[in-house]
Amino acid sequence: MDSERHQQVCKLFETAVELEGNARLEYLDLACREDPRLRNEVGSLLQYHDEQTLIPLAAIPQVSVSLKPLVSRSATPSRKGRSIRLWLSRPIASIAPRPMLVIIVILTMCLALLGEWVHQGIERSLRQSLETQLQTLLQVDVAALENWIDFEDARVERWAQNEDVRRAIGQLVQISEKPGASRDALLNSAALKELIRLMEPLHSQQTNLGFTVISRAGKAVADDNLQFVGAETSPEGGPYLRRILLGETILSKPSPEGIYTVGIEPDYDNLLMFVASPVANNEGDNIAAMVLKFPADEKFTQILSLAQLGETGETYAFDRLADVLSDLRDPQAVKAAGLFFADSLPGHTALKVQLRDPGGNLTAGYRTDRPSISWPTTKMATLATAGHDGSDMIGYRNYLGIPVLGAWRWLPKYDFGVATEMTVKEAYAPLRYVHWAFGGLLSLLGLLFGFVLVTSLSHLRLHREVGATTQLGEYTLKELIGQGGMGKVYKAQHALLRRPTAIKLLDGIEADRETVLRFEREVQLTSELTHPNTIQIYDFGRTQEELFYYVMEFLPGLNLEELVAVSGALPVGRVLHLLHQICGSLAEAHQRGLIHRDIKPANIMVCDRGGVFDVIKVLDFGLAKSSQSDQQLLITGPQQLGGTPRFIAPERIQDPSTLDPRSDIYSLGAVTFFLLTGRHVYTGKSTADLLYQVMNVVPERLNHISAVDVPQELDELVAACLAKTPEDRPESIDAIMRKLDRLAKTLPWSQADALRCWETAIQSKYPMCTQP
Amino acid sequence: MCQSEATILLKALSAGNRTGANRLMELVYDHLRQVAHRYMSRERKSHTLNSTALVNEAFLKLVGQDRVDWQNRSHFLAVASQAMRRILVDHARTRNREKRGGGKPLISLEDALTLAPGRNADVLALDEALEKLAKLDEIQAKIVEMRFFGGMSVDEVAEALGMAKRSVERKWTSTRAWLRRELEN
Repeated sequence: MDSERHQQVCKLFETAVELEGNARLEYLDLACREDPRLRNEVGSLLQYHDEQTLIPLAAIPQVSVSLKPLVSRSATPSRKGRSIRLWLSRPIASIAPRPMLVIIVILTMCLALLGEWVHQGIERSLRQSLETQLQTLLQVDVAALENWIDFEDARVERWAQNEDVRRAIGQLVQISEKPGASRDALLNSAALKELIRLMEPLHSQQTNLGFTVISRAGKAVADDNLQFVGAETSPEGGPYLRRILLGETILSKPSPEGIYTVGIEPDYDNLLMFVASPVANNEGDNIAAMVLKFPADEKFTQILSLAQLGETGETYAFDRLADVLSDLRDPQAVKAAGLFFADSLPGHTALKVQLRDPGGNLTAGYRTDRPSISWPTTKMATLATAGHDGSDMIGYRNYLGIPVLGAWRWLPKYDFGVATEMTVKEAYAPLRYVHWAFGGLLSLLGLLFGFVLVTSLSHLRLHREVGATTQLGEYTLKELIGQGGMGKVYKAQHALLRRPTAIKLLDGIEADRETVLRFEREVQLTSELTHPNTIQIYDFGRTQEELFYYVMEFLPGLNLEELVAVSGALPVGRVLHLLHQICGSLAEAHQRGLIHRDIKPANIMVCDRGGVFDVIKVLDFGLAKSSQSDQQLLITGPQQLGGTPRFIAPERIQDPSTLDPRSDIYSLGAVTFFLLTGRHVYTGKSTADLLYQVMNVVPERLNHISAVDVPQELDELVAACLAKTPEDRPESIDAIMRKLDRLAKTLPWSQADALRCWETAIQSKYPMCTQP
Repeated sequence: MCQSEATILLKALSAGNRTGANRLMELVYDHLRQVAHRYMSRERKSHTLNSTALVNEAFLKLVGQDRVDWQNRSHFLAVASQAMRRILVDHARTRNREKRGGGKPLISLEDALTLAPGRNADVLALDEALEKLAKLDEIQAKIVEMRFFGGMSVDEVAEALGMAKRSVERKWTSTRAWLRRELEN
């Protein structure tokens, strides 16, 4: 297509597009009579005609049309030629806290997993190393013990096989076996003297070593302590003797009596042990046992306590009955725990303590009524005495009830077991550092999480209410600045204009067609209000979540409720000044047939506008209220009302749908009363009380209240405003304004006065923004 | 000194003296490119900036509000629109060559172009369409350039082109339809 043709098509299009329906068709038919292709060209261009855009917005993804504006009334310079609307801007990404939270949660989980992994790894390797340590120690102890036993065995065998010793013993056995042989015969025999002489070197080897010779009949035929010569062996000695006579060299367990019973008191503090070996005659028959005796607490215990692990590790021997055979590491603790059989010195524990599990930690104060004999043997003792060697790296309770790790071995040859144990607490102490380290890290993360959560709480709240975005049309919601019965107010900013705005999101309004229309109408009416003391409405609409919202001036300042809370009752001059402005705002609204319906101190802001102080802004003109919510006003609880009925005219309580400007006048009277006295007209405790008082009780006159001094005329004006029936009230706002003007002449209020008040207020407390 | 030079050039241009046109273009182009590049390289993806804002800012920087009358301003904006187009197209070519050709361009043409990284393919598509349009109707292409890249109002376009506002409006309507068809097909 050439340029000329194009321009021709465009010209036809330009004319056609301004025509409607049939007129357009007729025009095209006429203009393109001779050229159907031209007609097609123009037609195709017309298909692409669009008032606003090149491509319908619906076809454009991610465009910021997240709301359905009822009317686009943005009070921006967009009305003029060059619009600054951003029709293609993506919604400015809200700095969502969610990714941060997710990161922290993931981090926490990773750290927890890592912690668990490290913990398990350390625990596993620690357990292996502990097991090795305990087993090694046990082996070393057992080996040392066996070494020593071998040495003692060899010694006793050497003596038993000595020719001279055998000869002397043979003679002694013969003497003892003669019928009617007496003890004296043995004592006086040359053989005994000879044997004692022969055995002399034994004492030089080890001072506390003694010997006994027991004949095959079980009688002591020789002893270095002569008083035992001729004594009979104890019943426990019997089995030992049989084994010896069968040719075995044996080691006895520690015992309080040694090999004798007769004539000896059992001595638990000085246990004895012995090794014994058979003595053969020349024919090779075993005729006696050579017994070497020594105290148990010397070698035996010493060897077992040679190597001890850490602070709590101990190695000890125990017998089949789970009696402890050697001394324990901490006898004091054992005695303190009340485990000793006898009331004896705490020095030795062998044969005084049994390996029984008390069921709880005795050192930590655990006590049980059950007799210790009924306690089960410890896990270690149970397994060991059953012949199962092994170890436990998880932990079990020992004889004191303390959780311990242990390795143990049963030595069947000597009929006792050896165990080495260590408390779990000490063994796994390194893990505690790991716990602390990771616990610290986790709690740090927790703190961080909490911090982010708190700082983003407002964001989250916004997300919940406004949906996934904090963007309402061209407004970016910032922080929540107020919350009323009807909805929440957020500070917001227009995408391009720097002017801060406040956006009120109304909840609880059902979006049926009628409500939408009423809301629309009310906002339109309100936005037409131009009085400087009426808050300006910039824009309104509905979010995707069907929440109504409207955009208004952002007002830094206090509402009257807060003002009275900060400053107390206000001077009459100032009240007149404020009232005058409220009346101005109401007068314009009433003239347009708009009734506020919710005049109360919280709905009236006192602001500093461009350096002018005490500027009133009346908020919430009938916007939030439908007849439905009016009814809710009375049936919902007092918490939700927030004291609203204090300012409601009696006729509106009777019939909430009443629309009478004089209801606003009543509320105005109540507000004036509140400002002048710092308290409410009625002071009923419950909502029901209040409602009754509003309906029936004649309000107190201002001049009857002490500490309040108002001109007679003002007193009468307030009383008139608060009249129960609308007919008794001033007929219009204008009438009130006239009276106020007269009064103001006698009680002027200057900017200087206002400034003084503001400075006081700022000094005490100045909430930057409170917009209900 | 830039400010006075631009002002002098602009006044000469408005008086019909076209000798300084290239120099003015150079000044505007340099300034706009600097600002736009700084803006586009620094800002995050989600941020957008209206080209109107940039062009107007350039005017304030280079000329100043008080020194020239309204006609001069329109001429300046016309020059700036052209510069803006060159900047955006250059930027799109260097940054986003590989992304060309996929899908339909997401352009709307009501007032001004939004500078958003990621829009490059659209800019290129539009530029291509404008080249084509310029061959068919120079004035139409000029109008689009001013409206789109300079964010100029119909009044300003009319002033800059020395046309009646009504004619600009009509041409603007047909151009939109044509562009719409061109871009969608």
